[in-house]
Amino acid sequence: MAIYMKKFVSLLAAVMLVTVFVAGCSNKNTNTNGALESPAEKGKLKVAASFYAMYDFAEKIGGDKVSVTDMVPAGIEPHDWEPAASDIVNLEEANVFIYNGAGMEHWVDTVLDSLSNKELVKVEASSGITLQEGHSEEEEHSEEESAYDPHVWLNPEYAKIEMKNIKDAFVKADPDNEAYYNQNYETYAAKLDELDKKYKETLTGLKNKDIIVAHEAFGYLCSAYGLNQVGIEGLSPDSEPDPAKMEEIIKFAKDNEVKVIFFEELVSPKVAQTIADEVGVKTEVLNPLEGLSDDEIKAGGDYFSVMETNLASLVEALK
Amino acid sequence: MQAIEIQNVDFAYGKELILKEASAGIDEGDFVALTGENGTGKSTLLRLLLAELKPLRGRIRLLGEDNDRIIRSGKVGYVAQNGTYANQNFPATVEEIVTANLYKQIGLFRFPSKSHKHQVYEALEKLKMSEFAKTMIGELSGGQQQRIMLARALVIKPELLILDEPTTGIDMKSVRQLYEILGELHESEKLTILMVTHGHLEECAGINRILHLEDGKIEEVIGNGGEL
Amino acid sequence: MSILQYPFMQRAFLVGIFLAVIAPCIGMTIVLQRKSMIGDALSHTSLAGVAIGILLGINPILGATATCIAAALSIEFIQRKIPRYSEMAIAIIMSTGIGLAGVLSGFTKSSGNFNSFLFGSIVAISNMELRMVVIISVCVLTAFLLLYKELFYIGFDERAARIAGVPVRLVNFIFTMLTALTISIASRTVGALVVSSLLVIPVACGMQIGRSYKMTLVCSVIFAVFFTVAGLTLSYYWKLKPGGTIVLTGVVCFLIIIILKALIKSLRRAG
Repeated sequence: MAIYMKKFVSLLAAVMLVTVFVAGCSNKNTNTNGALESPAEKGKLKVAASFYAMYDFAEKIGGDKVSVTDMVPAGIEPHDWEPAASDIVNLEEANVFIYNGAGMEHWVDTVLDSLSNKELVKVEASSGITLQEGHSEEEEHSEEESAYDPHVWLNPEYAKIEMKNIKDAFVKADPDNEAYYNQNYETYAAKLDELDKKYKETLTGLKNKDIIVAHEAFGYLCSAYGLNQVGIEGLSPDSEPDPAKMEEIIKFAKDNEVKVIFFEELVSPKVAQTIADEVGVKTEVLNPLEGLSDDEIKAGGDYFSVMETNLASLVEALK
Repeated sequence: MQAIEIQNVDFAYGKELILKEASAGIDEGDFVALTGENGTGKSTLLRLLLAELKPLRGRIRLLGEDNDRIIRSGKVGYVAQNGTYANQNFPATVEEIVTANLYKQIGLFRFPSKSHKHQVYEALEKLKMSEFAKTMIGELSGGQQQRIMLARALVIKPELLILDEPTTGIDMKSVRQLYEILGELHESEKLTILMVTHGHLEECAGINRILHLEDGKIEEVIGNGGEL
Repeated sequence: MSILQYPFMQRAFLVGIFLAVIAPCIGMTIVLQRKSMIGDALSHTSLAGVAIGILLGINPILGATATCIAAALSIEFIQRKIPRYSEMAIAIIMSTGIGLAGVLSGFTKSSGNFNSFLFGSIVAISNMELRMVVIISVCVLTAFLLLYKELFYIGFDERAARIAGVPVRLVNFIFTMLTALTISIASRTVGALVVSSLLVIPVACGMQIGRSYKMTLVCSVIFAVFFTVAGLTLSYYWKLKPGGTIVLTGVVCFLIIIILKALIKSLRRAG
């Protein structure tokens, strides 16, 4: 019996040693979580972006002077996403961290607290923007913490502010290239102004103003262009609506002759489809730029292309 | 003082009384067999003795004191019925199990000392089981396990030993061995023994009294000397 | 060692290891006394506590601890007053816990925080949580060691324990409290859904190897630490949720042990 024990203990010890050894030796730089990443090279600013919209803005402002990682992998919904250990490591090794704030990233405070990277330039992209509150859902509950709507980037003018904040962060982290970043900013700021103008002109003339969307991502867009959003789910698409809410939405759709029920690629379209069937209309994608699918990325999609597609879809639905 | 005093005890689980004014007295140094048909309440009586149950009426005293108090001081040796040992597959050695019964002697927050270990081996020796000290309990046969349980009861050097049907399910040879050991202990240690049993009393030379439980009452069985 | 160079991973390993030491101690008694239902009831209730904590703005672990203790007290009360129906009553407590957890989680602003307590999260351990885990672990371990004899005896033969003078009811009560504490702090790293597995699997492995109670306990602790370290390491490199990884590591290990034992047995017979 004693020999049996000795054999076992030595086996166990051996396995433990091997594990520890393997763990120690594998010093993989794990940025291969399928997330978007511009080619990493020496001399480039290492940037971590908390989800797609931030990633896209960072890429545009930073150009070839930065290497940006979108922390949320393609096809994953960012509202619920939580960083894994490798993402934290990424942040520890990054120069700049861009996050939207306003409640979009529920994990940001805890993670920032636990980082030891003192030189990380953090930028809350939405700072300086007057936030509006989330819609109906949150009103019934006790308001120690009112839920702000974080989806500011869908308003091109606010996207401009976010880009500016990002630009400032880049300049702070990499003052040598200030002129470059400023120039990029100017370029895109102009494009955003153009986009804003186009949205205004196209949407103000339309007869209908109501859109039914998968989750309340379009608050700022609606405020800017006189539309009204009815979300199947709330500010965050993490739980299905209860039956009463379903009925409400269906009734609303019928009463207001809504022609299209919008859904998103990152969220199950089941509920949207159900509502559409009940009302007798079709479904269509309205992308809140929280993430792009693999196909969209391959096709070269970005903020502007998605916003253009969205505009076309809105026109179809509201004319 | 008497080792066990049962004074006018009434007990019922439901409406019907199982024990009606049951009384008995067992003197120090007695080796008593308690008999009775199955279901007449022998186990219930034991449970009352061991203060697991409270009588509806009457009193039970052990070693001159309130039985609950004596039990809580861990002074009574008890061997349960064979086959009802709580956990056969418990991963413990014979030594660990017997040592555990020294609980009160080891004391709160303390661990067994060398002298405790010595006591354990002594007890195992008495039952001729010391070679199995490091064996896991689950690997022993039924008869061997029972001897361990007896060693466990004896390790505290009790003044009173209570056994519940120790001969159930073991072969005649083991029964005789058990009775021999009990007889020796009774002789050498002046141990008071109360044994609930219903078999082969004639094989046990040491018994000096027989009590019989019937209709809720305890009666002395004449023919073996001694009167209530 | 690269995995340990950042404070957040150091905290994760520390919390994991402390937990891995106390979990099998509690688990041993739970397995041997067939109390796993209590473990389940408490772990489900801890989720309700997490939700309450989030809603009230206090640390969810504190919420979990408070609720667990409340549930543990209720279980004690039930076992005392209506022992015949105790199993059903414990099931009701478990249902209350998980029902509350489900309903309350619907009110949390973002489900992310709550969800991280289902399967655990190692990236979000704050210094305060680390301190809490360390303090509570030390308390639980101390209590367990002080009550080592009592828990052993009650586990083996509760009736004989009582006759030997062990204060059975009191010890069981304290033990239920210790279980509540362990489960509530474990919900952070390994997650509430996984806690009861962490209590049981290392013990299952230990029982395959141990040749005495003490050895079984020591082996269980070694196994638990091993699963935790290996599981955390794997979850770090393979981007898996830590709780599930730790448990699956344990299950795989258990299967390996069983197979090895069978092999050794048949080899011995042949040889």
